[in-house]
Amino acid sequence: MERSGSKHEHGMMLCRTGAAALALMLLGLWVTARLAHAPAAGEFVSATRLMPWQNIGGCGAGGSGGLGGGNIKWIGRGVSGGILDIQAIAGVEISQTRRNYAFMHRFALKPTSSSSLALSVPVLSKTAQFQPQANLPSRTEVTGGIGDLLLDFSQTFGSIGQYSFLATLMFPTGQYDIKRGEETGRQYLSNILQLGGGVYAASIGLSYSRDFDKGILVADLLTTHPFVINFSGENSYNDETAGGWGYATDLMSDEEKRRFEYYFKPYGENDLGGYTAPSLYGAVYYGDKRNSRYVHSYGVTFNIPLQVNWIPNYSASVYDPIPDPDFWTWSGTLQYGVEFSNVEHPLYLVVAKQIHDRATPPGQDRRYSVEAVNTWNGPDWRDFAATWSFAVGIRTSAF
Amino acid sequence: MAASFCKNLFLAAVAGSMALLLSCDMNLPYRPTQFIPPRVTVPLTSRDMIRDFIGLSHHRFKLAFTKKADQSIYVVDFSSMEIGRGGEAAAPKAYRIKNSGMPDSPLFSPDGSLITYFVRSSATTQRAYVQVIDETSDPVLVADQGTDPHFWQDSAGNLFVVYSDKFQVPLNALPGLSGYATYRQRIDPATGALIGNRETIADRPYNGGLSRSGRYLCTGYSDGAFYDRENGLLHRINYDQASGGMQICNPSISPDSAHEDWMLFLPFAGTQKLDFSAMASSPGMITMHEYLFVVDRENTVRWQRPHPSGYSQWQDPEWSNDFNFMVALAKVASNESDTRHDCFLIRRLDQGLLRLTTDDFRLDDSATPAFWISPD
Repeated sequence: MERSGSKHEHGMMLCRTGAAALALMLLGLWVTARLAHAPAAGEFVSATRLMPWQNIGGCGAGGSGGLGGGNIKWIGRGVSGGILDIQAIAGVEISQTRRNYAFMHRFALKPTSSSSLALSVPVLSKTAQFQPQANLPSRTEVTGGIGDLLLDFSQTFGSIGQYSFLATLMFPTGQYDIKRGEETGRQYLSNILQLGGGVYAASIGLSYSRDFDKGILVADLLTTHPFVINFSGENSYNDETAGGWGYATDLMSDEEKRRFEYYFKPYGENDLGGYTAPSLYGAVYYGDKRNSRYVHSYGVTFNIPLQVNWIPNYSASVYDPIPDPDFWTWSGTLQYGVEFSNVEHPLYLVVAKQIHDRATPPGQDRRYSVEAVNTWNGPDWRDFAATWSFAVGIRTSAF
Repeated sequence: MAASFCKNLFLAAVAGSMALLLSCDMNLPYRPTQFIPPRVTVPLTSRDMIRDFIGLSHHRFKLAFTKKADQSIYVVDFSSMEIGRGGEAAAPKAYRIKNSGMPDSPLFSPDGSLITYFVRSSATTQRAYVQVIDETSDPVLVADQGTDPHFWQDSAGNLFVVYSDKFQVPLNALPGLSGYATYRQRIDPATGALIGNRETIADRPYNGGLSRSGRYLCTGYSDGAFYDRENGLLHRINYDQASGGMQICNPSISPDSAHEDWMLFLPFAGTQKLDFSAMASSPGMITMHEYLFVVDRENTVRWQRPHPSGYSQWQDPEWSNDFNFMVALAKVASNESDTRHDCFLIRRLDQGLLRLTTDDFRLDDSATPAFWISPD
């Protein structure tokens, strides 16, 4: 599909303006940080003071698929006192055709009293039904390993530290080209079985928290933009000598050639043709802190991709991506959690329900049509009833 | 006050940058689209030379072959050859059709618009496909367990794919082999979509295709034989009662209605157990793939052709849709590691050869070529 030159120029102009605004924002951040109020000892420390444990962007950014669509958040008193904060959360997601285990480890440093820099390391184990074609039998496949690493930064500001600037960077360390099958007929597994998305993703956003007598309200808003870096300049899957596709790039348009020869792409198209769209994420949580020993929390999140995601062809023999037939135009999470508060080792239990719209898989003759899958529908109540996420987490502080 | 000012400025900048980033995303400079692989120029012999060799000046020709390196099927339509700057015919374009897995033995439909082939996933798993010949159509699965598919058309013009569910029959095991069969599946000639259920047409696996009237099936890999569907008789070829059969490969049944119990095949080394009484001479002891033979159901050789000089052996012969022309590979070098093969068009009547490939473009040892000549 060709895009008019004027539209492209318009888009590039807006993006450049956005980059300038981002620079201005960072300058403001630096100035404000110098004047920000640091929380006093004994104040209720919401999880937003520290970058909350979450997989920013959920399914949209990379698809490494944390629990509950990647949108589970720890709301509580947390821990304080040390230089290094350590969180470990283990959880399981159960659905009609899949079962995922996730072990999320987060290590956070506090460069200043009002900022946090953290690294999250997910270890995943996935089991799901895989059926590449409707007329082939379904089979169960298992994958496991490290998912996409997440680096996040937060800076608290405001007279009482009620605001936080959030920034994250996700690295494509999770495998996204897992194949199965016989040697002459290898097939790529579907996205729900892959451990990563094969793209980087940068997110920025704001968090706002407000303390009440009996509780705390937290609201987050983030935007995520995937991109890709190739240090070799070549799409390794196209290397014919290594058994790759062998497409002749000298006959392609510049845009097509960029699928196979590039160093940087400002959009989230991985080397198999899978495309992760930019997305918008929002969340609201309420924590009930009336009891000094517990914090009950209730949360609602939403995630909206700003474009249709594409997925690679299941066959390893061709480069033939299509719009994701199981694309969700919107998704979210309903979460209930309880923190057993402890100054040194709090414990967190959470149950979450993922809710999303009903996908509209197109017919074979429309499988390349973005419009065919980009339909806003009501909730998929069947999947909502069948999908459950449970997690338990602990935190501690060191040094 | 300064802090409040900076805070407001900061919030405004954050909100503004988010809005602008969102607007960037909304305008979405990049939109993924369907990928259509470019056609590749292949320096084959010219269309005019083919026309001169075949002697049909107004006809169209297509060549299909597989390529091991990228596990693909390429189709060359010689009608698409462009005229070069000097007025000479430029090299034709080959377009690569989509497939899943390493394809084998592509064959053209009678009108040249569809192609059928199988994918050999393992020694025991083969899947038969059919699809429209272009860069964007998807393969249609004919059978999850289906090997060596061939097209067949009945007298009413309905199109079928004939295949079996056993790739390789052990030598001398065919008569006693049960549990496998040969099937016929009707398909839509425009899209390749399956129509109705498959029909079992023989209770043994036969991999060389169905004759024009539907009476004979032929097979090889390893047992060579004809099967007469009319009376259920099995006619074994390259075989004698005392010592059993000899292995044959690439069975290809005649496309001609007047000679429908003829079969083209590739023999193994040794003295063949064939009847050469209709030939001027018998080749005697032959080396591996030294000859191509056409035999009838009485085991009588009706045609034979040694490989061209300068080559070490034949490979992958296949009858075209025209009874008078066949296609086969000829190995360039004698050592096994050199997989270069030239593709030859063979004229049955006088054993004439036309080299389709060139020094700049050769095929590999598993290319399994097929050649199509338009009926009019």
